[in-house]
Amino acid sequence: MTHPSAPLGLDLLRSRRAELGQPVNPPPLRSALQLSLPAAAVGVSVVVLVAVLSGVAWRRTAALEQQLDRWQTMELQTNQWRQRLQRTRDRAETLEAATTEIADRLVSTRSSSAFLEQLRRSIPEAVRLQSVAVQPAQVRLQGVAQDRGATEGWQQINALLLNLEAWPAVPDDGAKLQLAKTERDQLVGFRLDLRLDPDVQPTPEQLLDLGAVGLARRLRLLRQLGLSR
Amino acid sequence: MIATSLAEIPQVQMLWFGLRRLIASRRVIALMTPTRLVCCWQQGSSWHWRSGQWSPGCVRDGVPLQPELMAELLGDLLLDCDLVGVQLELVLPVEGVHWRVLEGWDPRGCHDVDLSAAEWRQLGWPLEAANSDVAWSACGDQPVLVGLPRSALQAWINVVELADLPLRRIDWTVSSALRGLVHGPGLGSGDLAWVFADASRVRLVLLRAGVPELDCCMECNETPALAMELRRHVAAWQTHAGGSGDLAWCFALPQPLAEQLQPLVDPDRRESDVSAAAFWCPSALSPEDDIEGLLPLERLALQGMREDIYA
Repeated sequence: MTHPSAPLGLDLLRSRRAELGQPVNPPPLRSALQLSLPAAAVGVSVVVLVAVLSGVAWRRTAALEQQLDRWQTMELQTNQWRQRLQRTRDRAETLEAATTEIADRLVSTRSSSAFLEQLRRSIPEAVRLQSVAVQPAQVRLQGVAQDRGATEGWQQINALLLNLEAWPAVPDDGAKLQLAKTERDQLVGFRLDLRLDPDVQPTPEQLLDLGAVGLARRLRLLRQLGLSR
Repeated sequence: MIATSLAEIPQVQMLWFGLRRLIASRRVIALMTPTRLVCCWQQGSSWHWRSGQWSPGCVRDGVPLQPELMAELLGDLLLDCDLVGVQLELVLPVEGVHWRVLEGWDPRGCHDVDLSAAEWRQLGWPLEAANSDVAWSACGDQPVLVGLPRSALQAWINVVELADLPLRRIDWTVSSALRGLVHGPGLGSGDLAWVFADASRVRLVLLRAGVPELDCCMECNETPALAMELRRHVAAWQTHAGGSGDLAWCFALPQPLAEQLQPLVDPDRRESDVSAAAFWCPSALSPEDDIEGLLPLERLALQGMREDIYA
């Protein structure tokens, strides 16, 4: 029992299509599913691609946020260390300034015998000091000069001024006579201000010349330690 | 509410219709008979059909005479069925188309039928070579030539063009029904006597091994006379063609006539009956069609068209 073979399909349009130059067989029908499948595949691919990229970006963001959190802790620690360092530096500067000040005081000539010796050497014989007020950058001298002649007292005061201006630590016009007047008993009272340059310090040799042996030794030692100029 | 309001806007409806027409692509078989149009299509896994009656005088001798009216009916019917993206496959009525079995011609590998004038004359059919459209299909081992006047084919094409529908294929009721018959159940390997109605006449086609060997028309005035005529033709063919093996009768006729001819089946002569009830039948879409039903020949023709030959 076998079926006779089925006849092939008939299409009376084939000859018409051939006459019109068209393909003899029409193209196969494509269902909506077949039509939409490639587009759907492309759409799904795009969605998947976007999802994957979003996932990668999300993971990268999470990693960066974790790294940022770690760095924030480090930044906090760094700031703390920086503040501690700054405080240490401030303290060091304060200490250094204090040390310098102490060192400067240790070798300061204005309160030492060297200063007095230098002052003694600059005062003429006819001049007597009544008071010496030493300030950090200024010295006020008050005294009297014996006026034996007509203007000798005034000359003595002038000589004092010239002697003082010859000091290395006294700048030009650093010695100024503030007051001078003739008093009784052939005396000329005066008061003068002596401006001193704090940057100018005597050398150990000068100090030795002035007889300040201990001060010269101290200055040399401080210079060796780098604590004085 | 908003969705309903949007759907009622004509522009939205046109846009939706155009979109569906663009993406949807659906085979619709349009079976043309002298009295009505039967449209059949596949929806999911099931097939449906719906019919529309021609106005009187629309089809005569297998030729459409009122193409505008017919195109309107065709378009309206498809619109009523909400069918868009239609690719129409037309099945021409039985009348007006001729067929011949070609012996000794091997058409394999060629689509064109190129017959000489002498060969054309030997066919002995009322068609002129210059004014005819022909195509062939295989029945069994033999090619079968089917032809009709070019004007008739053009008239059917015009009907579809007027309905503004893409035409994909044109077949013939008889060749399609024959395909449906050999695909159907209950058919043995023996001879087959296929009886179907052709307008006011009855046609008998005798097949051996799937190849039609005799096609004759006879008047259907009285059933006993018709039965005798059928028996006479079958006997003469059996005598002429030789052999008296199994014979299957297939009455693709309206049920009353088929029942009246049923006594022709003689088991003593090793004859059997291929019941029309076993033929494939799609589902009617409207209650009216369900009541009226499909004729056996229409069912066979639709079955023969189910398979898409260009898939």
